[in-house]
Amino acid sequence: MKNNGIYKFLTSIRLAVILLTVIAILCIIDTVFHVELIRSPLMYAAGVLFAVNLTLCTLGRVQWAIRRSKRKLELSAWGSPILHIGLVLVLFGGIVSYVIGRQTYYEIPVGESAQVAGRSGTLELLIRDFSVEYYEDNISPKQYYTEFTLTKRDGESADFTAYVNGPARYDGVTLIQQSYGWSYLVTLSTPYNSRTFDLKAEEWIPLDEGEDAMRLGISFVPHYDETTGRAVTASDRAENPRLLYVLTEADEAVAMEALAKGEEAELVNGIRLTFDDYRYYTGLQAKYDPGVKVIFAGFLLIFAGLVIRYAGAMKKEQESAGEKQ
Amino acid sequence: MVTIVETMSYYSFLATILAAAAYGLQLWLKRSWLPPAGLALNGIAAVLMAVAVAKRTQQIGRLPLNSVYEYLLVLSLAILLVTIFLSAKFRIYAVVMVLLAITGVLTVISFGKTDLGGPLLPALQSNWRVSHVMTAIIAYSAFALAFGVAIIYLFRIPGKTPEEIPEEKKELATFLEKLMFNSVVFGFIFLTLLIITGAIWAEEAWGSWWTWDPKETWALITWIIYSVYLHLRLRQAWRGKKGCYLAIAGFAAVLFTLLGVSYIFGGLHSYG
Repeated sequence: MKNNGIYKFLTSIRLAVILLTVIAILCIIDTVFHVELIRSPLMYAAGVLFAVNLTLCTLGRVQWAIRRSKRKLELSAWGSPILHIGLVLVLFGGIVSYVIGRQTYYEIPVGESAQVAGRSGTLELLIRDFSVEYYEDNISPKQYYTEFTLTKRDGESADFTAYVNGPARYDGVTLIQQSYGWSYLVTLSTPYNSRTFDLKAEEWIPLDEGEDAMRLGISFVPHYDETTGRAVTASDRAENPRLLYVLTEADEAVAMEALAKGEEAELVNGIRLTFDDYRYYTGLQAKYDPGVKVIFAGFLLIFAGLVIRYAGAMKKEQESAGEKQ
Repeated sequence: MVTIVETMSYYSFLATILAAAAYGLQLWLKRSWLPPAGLALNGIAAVLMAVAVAKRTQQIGRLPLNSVYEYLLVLSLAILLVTIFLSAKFRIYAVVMVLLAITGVLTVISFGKTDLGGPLLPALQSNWRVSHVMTAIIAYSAFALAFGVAIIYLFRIPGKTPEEIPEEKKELATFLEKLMFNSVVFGFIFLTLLIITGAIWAEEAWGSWWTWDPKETWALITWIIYSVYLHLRLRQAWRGKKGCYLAIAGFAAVLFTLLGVSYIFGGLHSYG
């Protein structure tokens, strides 16, 4: 098989150079001209061919290094094989991530919980607290902290704090601090019933039907500026938290007001709006991905292989005859 | 208000231009006092830039490795140090001139990018930050040197292939080619380290070691270009001018990664 022309081409440096050039050109066109090519069939085809070429080349290099070491043990002969094994590991780790890796993004208010998939099964993720640390200017955020508890099905649990650049790890899951915001609770009640809403962003709720329908727009402003009265927060802190509402009829505002926590407003036809509470929610990324360890092991080998391969070459400036083949 | 950092980098720019002029005159007039004068001016430019970097460090209370402005200051200083080494050890003034021209351009670009250096964002508060950015500085300085050598090789060495080089130029050609190769290898090791440290940091901060962010994509493009150079150089035919074209293309990708991506595309690496 090794004398086969196709096999020779598949294991050649020429093919590696062609594929690397194709991949680079696709990346350039994608980024410069905003044409989606990085996730195109052409890129996948180039990637698969490159993986085949790289794996076969790596096997060839390992065989060459073994043969060479039988004659004379030379560390520098192993630089290129180690480097290429590292590259194969990165590709393999990428496949592992693609096949069995899982990533889910959660936005959970303080005091509430969610179900997260762990190695041993489903974990309960309870958010105990979220806080923002500020710099001396009291405006610029320095760090975001989420305190939470993870509980396995058998009842075993552990407490963690995750922050930006400081993820928490438990039962194969990594929890990464990614976002935060304010969550607020309001109740709409009529003389006959009531309904509580748990909201994060601005919300529009229809109060009746038809072309001239009345609609209720509500939003939470953590730092409401009484002097301007605008629905813009002065900071991210809950310095003067208000629920702003606007009541519209045929898209014309007919009433608007800022409610403090616990306050209630009479809207129309006996409908009442109550601002019940507000609290932080945290945005956490839960990641279960055994492929990452394989990829990082690949990185280690790539770097080690590069240093071994080229440390001597920079001095001697000699390329080995074996690699030329 | 012009800060002392800007003033120092401005004077460093002037010293850089004067040093390049002294080396340029030496190539033309061949006077014995010109190389020491060039080296002295080169040293002054480096000292002034070092003062600018030190003052910036003092002002913001951390190493200035955050915004593109800070990065340009430190990269200019690194290339100035490379020019001093080249000038003192190898006396290859033509290459030094090219590198000083690059430094001058980077410093001029930095004039328009001045920022106040606000507090560090939570995403940047990581032990990986310094190692990630420092590896970039080292890699890019080495690639700048390879670029400078490639330019001079193309101007000075006749013949398309190594076989066509006249006998009297062969020694210079071999020296320049080896210097270019060593610079690319040195830069490539640090570029690889740059990508690896960035990937590990991204996994910690964003939960994904690779996101095809424009900066990442262009770092990969740069890595591929130099990787192609290292593979093709195994053939004798690529040890001459063809290799120079790849070293030039590689540095063009470096500059685009550094400046083009930062100001055109934005993305996760946009910190000013």
